[in-house]
Amino acid sequence: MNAAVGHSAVLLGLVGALVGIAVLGWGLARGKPGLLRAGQSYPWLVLLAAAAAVGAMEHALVTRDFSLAYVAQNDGLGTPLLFRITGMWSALQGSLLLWTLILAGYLAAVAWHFRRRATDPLVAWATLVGLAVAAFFFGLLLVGAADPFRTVVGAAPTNGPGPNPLLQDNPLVAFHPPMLYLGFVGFTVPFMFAVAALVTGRVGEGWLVETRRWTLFAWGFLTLGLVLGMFWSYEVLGWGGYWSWDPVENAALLPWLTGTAFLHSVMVQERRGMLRVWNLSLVLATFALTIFGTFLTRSGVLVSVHSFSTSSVGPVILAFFGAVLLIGVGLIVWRGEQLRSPGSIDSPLSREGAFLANNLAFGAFAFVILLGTVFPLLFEVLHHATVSVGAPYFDTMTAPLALTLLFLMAVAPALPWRKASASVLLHRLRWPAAAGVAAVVATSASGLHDVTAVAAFGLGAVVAVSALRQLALSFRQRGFRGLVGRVNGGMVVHLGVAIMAVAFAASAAYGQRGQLSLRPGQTARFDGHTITYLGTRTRSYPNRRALEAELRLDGGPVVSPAISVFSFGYEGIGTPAIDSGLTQDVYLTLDSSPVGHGPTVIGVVVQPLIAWLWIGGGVMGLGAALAAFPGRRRRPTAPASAPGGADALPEPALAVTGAD
Amino acid sequence: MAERATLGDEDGRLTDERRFLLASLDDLEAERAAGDLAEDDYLVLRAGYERRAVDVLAALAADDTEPQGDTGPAEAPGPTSRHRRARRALVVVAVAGAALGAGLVVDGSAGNRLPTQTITGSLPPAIGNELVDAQADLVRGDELQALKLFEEVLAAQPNEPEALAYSGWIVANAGEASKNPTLLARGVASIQDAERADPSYPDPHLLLGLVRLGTGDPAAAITELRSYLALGPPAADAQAARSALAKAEADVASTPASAPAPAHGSGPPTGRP
Repeated sequence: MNAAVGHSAVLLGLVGALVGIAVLGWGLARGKPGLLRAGQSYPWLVLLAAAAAVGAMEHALVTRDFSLAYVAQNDGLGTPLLFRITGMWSALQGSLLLWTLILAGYLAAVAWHFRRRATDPLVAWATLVGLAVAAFFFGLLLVGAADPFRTVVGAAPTNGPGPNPLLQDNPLVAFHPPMLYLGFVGFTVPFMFAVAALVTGRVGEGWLVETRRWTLFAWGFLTLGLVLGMFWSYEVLGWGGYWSWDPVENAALLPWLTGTAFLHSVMVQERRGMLRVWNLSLVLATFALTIFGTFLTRSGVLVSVHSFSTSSVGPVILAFFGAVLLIGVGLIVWRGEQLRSPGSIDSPLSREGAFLANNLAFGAFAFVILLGTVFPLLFEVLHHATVSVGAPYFDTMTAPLALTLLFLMAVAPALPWRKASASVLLHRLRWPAAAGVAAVVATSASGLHDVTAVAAFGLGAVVAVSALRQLALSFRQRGFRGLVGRVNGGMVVHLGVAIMAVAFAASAAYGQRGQLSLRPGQTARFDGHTITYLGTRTRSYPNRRALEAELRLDGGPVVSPAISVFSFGYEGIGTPAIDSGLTQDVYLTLDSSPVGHGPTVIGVVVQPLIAWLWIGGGVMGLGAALAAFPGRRRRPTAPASAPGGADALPEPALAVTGAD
Repeated sequence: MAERATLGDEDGRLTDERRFLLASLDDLEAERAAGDLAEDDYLVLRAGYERRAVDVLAALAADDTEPQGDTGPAEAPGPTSRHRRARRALVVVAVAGAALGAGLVVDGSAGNRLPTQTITGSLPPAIGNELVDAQADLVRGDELQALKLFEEVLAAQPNEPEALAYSGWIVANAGEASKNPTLLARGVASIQDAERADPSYPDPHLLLGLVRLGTGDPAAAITELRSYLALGPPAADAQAARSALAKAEADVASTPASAPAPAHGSGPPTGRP
């Protein structure tokens, strides 16, 4: 029943998308408004089909319909309800289904938003492109290995192993992947409009204005998805860190980097008519990187390039990635002459100069990560040997780029468009610079000699004060309305980045990591904390058996890091115990159970300001929401500062007059 | 036809530029009034925009008066276009150089991928978890799976005593069962490596004692089992060790001093001691 409904829904989605493409294509070719209006109803049909398919899958998971191979592999009698529901995105087929549902949701939202402009060729082309992407994903769901509704051969099993143990150890799995997908898939909308602009030749600033809020939403979701991913890694994986440069993390970070670059460079095009090709390239690259990320994580290529070649999904996704690149680059080349910008940079010391530098840094950042991520794959193809590019490469290469970006974030808000004079700059940067110097002096005096960390503290302080100053000026003039709109929301995002930068630097520079071998009753001291080992106990849960170490931390309540073994799984999963505070986290893990009556090995990680990583991430999300909230309607080319008052050197008030 | 298209494009470009320059002049006034621009900068920028606007307006006027289809002789590249071309070449060289540099760095940073590693990044290996899993496999009797896990641990941490000891014990047992002296010697060497890696860890002594007893070398077994008991093992395991020690001592007592030691003794112990 579930399989029949699911297969029918997927087929309906595919047919609906293809018919929608045909209707819109015919309408555009013949200039028939009726067909263009009719074409706008197909995204709703696609949404209906995707919702029905997801409904069938969730029903199968919740009712444990083990006749479906996906349910038999990712559900179990002992799996709690929450993880049965989240089981839909615990493996390849289900996560592609979630991707398709979110894409259909975005398409329907676009159709509704532009319902009064259904006959506009730009909107019609954009919808056509969106339906083509949807058709690809529905088609993918019918391919053997990606078919979520494939039934088992022979008699249905009576039980299954449940989701991957790591995906049934923490409720965060309910939020992290959907948030990430909302971001990934959301970048389809600017891609649709960019292709539509290139096809129709309307390559001015119009398509940017149509899509900038959609881009912001996608960026905000992706940001929250990444931060939740870091939080999940910290809470679940039991290694005391939050970012390890593994290929899945890199795949998620790449579109975020190009998307962030686009959010900045788009302002240069709106304001100064420059960077048209660059902006189109960034939108295409961001979408292409989301497809590349899907390829990387869903093709089997991470295990080995050979498992990719035996997968039926990998080559199809790779071909789609190639097609996206080919079509995008082809259209840009085709429209080459029309994309020539009338504007030019008057002075490098200007807002547009800073944005250009920021884009170069983001581009280099993305290139470095892409290179490091694909290098082992290319090496394996060429040399038939497996290599790994370790975290030191990524740390070494990205640290100077991250510091450059922090510097630009600190300076750019104080720069006017076109040209900045030294006196204006000195006036606007005096307090942020003072805060930066104070931070550098304080951290150096505390004995910190790591240049990168000291620079991160200093620049973080400059960015924070610079952003707060802009927000304070804006608030003074417009009250709470001064906190919304693109530029003011952007300042809140900058504040979040500054908080995260300081938290990164603090945890890396002052963090302590060690292992304690303790017998029951023994107490040890570590980095100012006392840890008493009381013993171990075994507890049984519906889906797992856990060996828990009982530890008393600093004479307080007992905490219990554990190693869990899930039903059907032979792999032990560590569950840390974390004593989290605003100033410091103490992270305890059970690293090795006692062999006989020997000692138990307890891992201890003490890191300062970890909680501020999550707070900073939340502030970034809040900033994205404020930026998406409509500010005052005005010309995008209004000056960066309020009309001059009595002051010889007026304060910038981006909230009042900046581009929202 | 192509020529007409080119003329149309050029017209469009000039119109676009005129619109942009006139809007820029308006914006400039607003920015000056807002205090974003210093007076000197304002004057220089304004003069620049006005000069460009005059040029564009003149070009548009010339386009209007020129007969269609006759674009005149091609203009020789001036110093500005040469400068632009040189700048473009410099950017290409810089980008290519940076990309090459990054390629060399990544090539220098890449190392052999171990079984527990992903293609990029690095987590501290979850040694503890793998050891727990391996011991669970051993208790279950799945020695092959346990050996695989112990070897994964050793690939990441070659001197890990528990992995050395128990993988050696599995290999030695297999060598003894299959009467393969090479395998037996490899297992024994691994257990001895565990003894050297952590002299305070009792288990390798017990394991080696049991292997020696099984291979008919009770004298060596006695030494190992006594070392094990001296390190204060858990009571339950100590009891098993004392039984083995008693058997070894009995074997020594019953063996004539001149008689050669048998190649194989009683069957190897199964499961974890």
